[in-house]
Amino acid sequence: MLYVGYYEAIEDGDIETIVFIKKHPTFQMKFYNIHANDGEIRKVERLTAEERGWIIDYCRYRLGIDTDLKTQDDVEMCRKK
Amino acid sequence: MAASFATQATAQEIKPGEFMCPIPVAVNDRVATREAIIKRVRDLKVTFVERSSWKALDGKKDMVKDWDYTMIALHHAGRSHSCTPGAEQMQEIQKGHLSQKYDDIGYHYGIDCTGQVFEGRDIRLQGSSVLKYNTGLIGIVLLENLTTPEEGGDWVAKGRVALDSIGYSTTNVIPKEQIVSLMHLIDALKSVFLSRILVVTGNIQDKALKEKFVLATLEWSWSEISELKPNCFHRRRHSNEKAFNRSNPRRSNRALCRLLRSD
Repeated sequence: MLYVGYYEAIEDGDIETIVFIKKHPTFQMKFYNIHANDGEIRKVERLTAEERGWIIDYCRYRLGIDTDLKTQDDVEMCRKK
Repeated sequence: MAASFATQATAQEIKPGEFMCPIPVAVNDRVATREAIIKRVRDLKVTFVERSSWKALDGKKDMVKDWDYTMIALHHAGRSHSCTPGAEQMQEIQKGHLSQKYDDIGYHYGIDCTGQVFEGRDIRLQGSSVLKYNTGLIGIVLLENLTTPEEGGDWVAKGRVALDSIGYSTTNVIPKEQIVSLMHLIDALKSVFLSRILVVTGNIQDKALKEKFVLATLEWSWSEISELKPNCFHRRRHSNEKAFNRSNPRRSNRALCRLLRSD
């Protein structure tokens, strides 16, 4: 539980669950990769506080990257699957 | 209800005995353009269902605007869909998209199996249907399952492939009403947006079939279109098809679209 997480992504119209091993332990299991779908890459200056939180959590626990999301490159880096 | 149109024209002085030159009137109103599309579709005897009529939820505030569309991407709704009432499917798709943190339903239009056209995301707003290619692109979803048997690569796909191998086809046929409405909708969109058409096709192995699809689409020949296999209608998933195939062989036979610009 501490090391297993998941997020959902739309694949060919259907929602699929992607399970992954977390890079850091946490009780949070559900994560959001808001770039896993077919929307545009979010502009860093347009991110809401909530969206920033989702991306930062995903980046830390899924990818093992800690970021403050200051630049567009940070957003790009965190959209990896 | 009809909205007021904003127009702009230059006054012209007419002297007695002179012929009046036509005065161009520029309509630069996106609300009016949206309504013109709806009217055009309805004039073509196609039922058009606006967002409010299928009880769409409100999208996020301050969404990214878009205009001057040059591309149309055709999608199907996925394996969890079938030819059920369109309004319910649109609601379901919107719910799914919102759960994935989309700003609203990703497609601009949906067409159900009976040929009804549903308004999705407002045409004045950028859609979300083709990753990295959403700018200038109109997303249309055909509200049914048009996957080929092997798509998905799971036990369902294996079962379908097995049934297919013994001659029992599990691939849905695109209803003619749906194709006719699609053509009418595209005609309406072409009348206001598109001078050039960008066609999205799937990774059809049969080159002849692929060429046939492109030609048929460009010529808007309904009889040709209706003969096509449904795997013409898929979404573009990755810009680098070969790299994607290498990195994800399970999905290598999935729809990887090629954008072909017409002359």
